[in-house]
Amino acid sequence: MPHKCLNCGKVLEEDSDELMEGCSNCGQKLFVFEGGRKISDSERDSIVQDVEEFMDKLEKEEEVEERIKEAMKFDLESIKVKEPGVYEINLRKLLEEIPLIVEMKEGEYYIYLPSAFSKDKKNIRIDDLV
Amino acid sequence: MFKKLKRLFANLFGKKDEIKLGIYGPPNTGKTTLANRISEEFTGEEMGTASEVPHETRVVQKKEKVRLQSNGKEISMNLLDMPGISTKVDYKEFVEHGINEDEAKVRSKEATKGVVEAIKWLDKVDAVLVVFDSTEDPYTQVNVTILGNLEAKDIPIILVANKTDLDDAEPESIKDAFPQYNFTKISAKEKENMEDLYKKVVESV
Repeated sequence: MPHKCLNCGKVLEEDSDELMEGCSNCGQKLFVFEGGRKISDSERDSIVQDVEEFMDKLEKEEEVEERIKEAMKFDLESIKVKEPGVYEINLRKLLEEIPLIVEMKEGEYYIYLPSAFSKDKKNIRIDDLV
Repeated sequence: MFKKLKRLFANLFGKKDEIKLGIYGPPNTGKTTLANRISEEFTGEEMGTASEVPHETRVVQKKEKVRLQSNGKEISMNLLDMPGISTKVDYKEFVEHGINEDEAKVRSKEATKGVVEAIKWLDKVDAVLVVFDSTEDPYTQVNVTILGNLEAKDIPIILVANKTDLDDAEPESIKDAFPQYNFTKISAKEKENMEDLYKKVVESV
């Protein structure tokens, strides 16, 4: 019986399925290997703290990954309307032979179809801009 | 005689009667001042209003049948003064120049349309003057993007380092940044070295 539930202290049978499925008593999935030795309450607290810190760190890393994903989101629009009167222009996109796409706000795109079909591009109108 | 000349030019430049020379660059580099100088010299008339407020030119200004002469050669061209190209237009910039907020927002929208219009015209021009402010860092996203695109389209380019009359002008830094292009330095305002520019235009088209 080398494992003990970190939450309720239940001691598991050797090779118990509870190691994978969670403690049958409290449902937690954090266990400490005792190696046949009993641990003191203070040792137990210290281990719990270490594990909690480790879990926090993992969560933070996930947040960072989310932020990176956010920054790498697809790059489609030629013009972003940051607020009325403030425009960001993606020259590279504008130079490509694609229809004019204006991002009015986060995730809301206006596609100006005549810009895709009209040969007379000089008369392009983007009156949808606020 | 005129017909003969016209035919000669038509042969030289395919079926086009006139060369379309586009003046491109970021806002406030002196594109309109330059367009006015060229137009004034060869037609006697100015083209547009130059201003210290950025994005003063918000629609393409055209001057047709400008007969540019240099070194005994003459080319007939349509001169196109383009709105300044930038990656961000913010109305607050106009407010700082004393324009009220509502008007500044309209201006901002017009300037954004102007950038789109200028970019769309890149498909139609036959040659381009890319105008730089010699007091500014030449290596910007706008300049790199425009030059890269023009080069890909195989359009003749002349880099024009303008504002050489200013004390902190460093026209050579532009030449160093983009050494592969035809280059000239001028002051459109003070009419310095314009002859060299005309010579290079006539040679390049």
